[in-house]
Amino acid sequence: MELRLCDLKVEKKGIVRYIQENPVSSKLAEFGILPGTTFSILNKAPFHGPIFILIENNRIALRRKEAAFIIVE
Amino acid sequence: MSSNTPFKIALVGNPNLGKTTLFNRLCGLNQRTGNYPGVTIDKKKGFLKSGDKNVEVIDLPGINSLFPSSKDEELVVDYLLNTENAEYPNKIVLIVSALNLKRNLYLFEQIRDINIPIVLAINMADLAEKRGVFIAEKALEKELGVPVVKISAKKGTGVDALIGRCMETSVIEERAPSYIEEEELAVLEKYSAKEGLANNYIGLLKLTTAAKSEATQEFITENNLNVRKWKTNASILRYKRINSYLDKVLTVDKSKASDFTTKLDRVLLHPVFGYVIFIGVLLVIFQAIFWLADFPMGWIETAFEWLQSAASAGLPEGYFSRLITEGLIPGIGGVVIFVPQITILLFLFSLLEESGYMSRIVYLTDRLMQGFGMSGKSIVPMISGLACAVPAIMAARTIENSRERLITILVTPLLTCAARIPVYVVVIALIIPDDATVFGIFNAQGISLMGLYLLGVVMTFIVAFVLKYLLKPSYKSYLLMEVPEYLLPGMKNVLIRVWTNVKSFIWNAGKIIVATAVILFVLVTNGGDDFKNTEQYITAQYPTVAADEKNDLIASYQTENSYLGMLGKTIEPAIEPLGYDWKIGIALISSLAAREVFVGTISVIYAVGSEEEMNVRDRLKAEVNPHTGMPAFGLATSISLLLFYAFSLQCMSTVAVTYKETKSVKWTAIQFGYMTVLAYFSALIAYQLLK
Repeated sequence: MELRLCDLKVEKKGIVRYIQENPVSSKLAEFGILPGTTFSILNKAPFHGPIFILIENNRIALRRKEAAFIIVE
Repeated sequence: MSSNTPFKIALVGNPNLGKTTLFNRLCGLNQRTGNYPGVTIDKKKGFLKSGDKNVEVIDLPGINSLFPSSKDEELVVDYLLNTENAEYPNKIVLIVSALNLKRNLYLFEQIRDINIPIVLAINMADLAEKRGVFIAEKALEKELGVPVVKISAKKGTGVDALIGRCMETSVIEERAPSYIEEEELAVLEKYSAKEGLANNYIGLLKLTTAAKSEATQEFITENNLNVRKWKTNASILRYKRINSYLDKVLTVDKSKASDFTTKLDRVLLHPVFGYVIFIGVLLVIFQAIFWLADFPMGWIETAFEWLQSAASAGLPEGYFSRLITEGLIPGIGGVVIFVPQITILLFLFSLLEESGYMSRIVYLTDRLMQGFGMSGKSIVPMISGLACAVPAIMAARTIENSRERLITILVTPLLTCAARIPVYVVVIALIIPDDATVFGIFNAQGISLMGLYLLGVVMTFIVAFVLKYLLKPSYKSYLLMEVPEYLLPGMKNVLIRVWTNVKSFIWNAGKIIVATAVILFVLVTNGGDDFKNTEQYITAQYPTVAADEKNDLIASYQTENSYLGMLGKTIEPAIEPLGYDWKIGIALISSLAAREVFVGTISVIYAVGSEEEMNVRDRLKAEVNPHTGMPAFGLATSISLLLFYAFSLQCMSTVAVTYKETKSVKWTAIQFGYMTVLAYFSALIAYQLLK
């Protein structure tokens, strides 16, 4: 079972393994969400709202839907 | 003077890293807003002098990438690729944040490949050093091959050096591509040559854009290209390149790192307290635009009343003087009265944006807004819609998804804007006495006003919810947003921002409102034969009345038979079921251009026929509907009017801005249409139930 970024709990750290091909994969890459980068989960908005992550000194907010394409470890 | 054409510098950079602060620092108040050629979107230009050279600075909207995903980004990319344009910059200043160098260099790498001379400005270098982030600017300059200057836009350090480096002559040459796999380069070269493009990177941008030409689409199919993959690869390759030199220019001392932002976010983004604080912030904004603005609004009102009486006393009698005192002065007053509210709103907004809290609001509300077919980014236009829909609709530009953006634009005018307040206040006062209270403590008029605000908000969400099911979802709805660190807002910058925005509001809305006031005046003071023969008619009908009363009768008869009166009578059958007579009809027509005109018109129309000086409210209360013999503004009519004004789109500025932003007659008409239908039928139902 592959671990997706949206499955992680708040304050957990991880490394991006790869990103599944999806309509916004080029956008994710532009925001520096690339294989091999480390990140931590800063916050998750309630009711399945967006996720707030710190990735390479950069704070990024993204929806769960996009986070589901990011496979992590 | 060396030459007439100024040296043009364009400011480019990611959003929220002090680009506008630098612009304000460079140009001060010496700036103005214009339009981009072809599209009517505000473009900020400023001027400065370097030695004997005139320099023009263009502030472009913040972008994340040359692969555009929002209207703002499309605009900047079009501007940067259109080298034929007379406004094309001689040089680009690319602003990066020292706190986020890697991510910002990504944009640099992209723009570098269009081959425009660039100067790199590293902002917040001082702050970064305090946090243990050191950048070797000389080494970076060597790696990038362009001038690099450290600045602090807030404090102004390094700005002179930046201008100096901009004025140096520089050559930029095509470099080896770092955005495409080697085996794919040949096919890209083929495309660029076929299209006659200046360089290969522009070729890549044209191949990957959403709006492809037919020839481009054919080329992609012919060569069986996966351009989406190219886009992703381009980003991965660029980060690889940045990583290859980043270590040489950047040193980070982790022990000095501050996690102030992280700590603050723990509270401000807390699943419970975060929302409590957000609602608190909303209440403060609401209170401020409502109660705080009340004082200066009172002064402005008094000042214009004084001006009007002074002008009518000082000017010689005549049609032209009346045009000034009864048309122009109240018209201008009607615009100026909104300045306090808009100023306060813009001031608080600038504070929220500069401090970084605005991005947190977007994050907090995204889930809720998703339920209504909008994005967290819709909250920004919606809050500004509480002051005025015009800047609000323009603010929707940052929403990437076209469906979410459209819904936001369509529903924003339902929110109670400042222009509805004067109408509400006058009509509420007709049905609720001043001293009435609820539970003995709350002012009943105030509560009613709150109720109307709430009604606007509820209807906004209802309509958005309906639109969500009517509009087909496009596949690409996403939220991907950089969230800045918390920073103390620079006061000077905030004030400059408020001033430039207020100025543009006065100018844009002012033109329309003043024009309406003048047209209205002309229509009410001219008419057909009946109008011209008023005096004979009245003399014949009432041969015995006193001179005073006769003058009143003449004035009243003239209004009724003026062109405006004729117009009001024409629509009377349509509005009678709502409980309105032709006089209210006139007010409705005249306030088609702008709602607040209602109060002015109604006081002009009902002004006639009374001897003693009464204020608008007493005059309206005394008015009797000739058909029913009942008060013209009874409970049913007043409620019906309130509902009509709550939902109808009586604001030409909003119609104009919706058209500009959607570039679609269809959506502009739909917005106007649905709001009018909503207004008409809710007013109809209310009147028929209550009468």
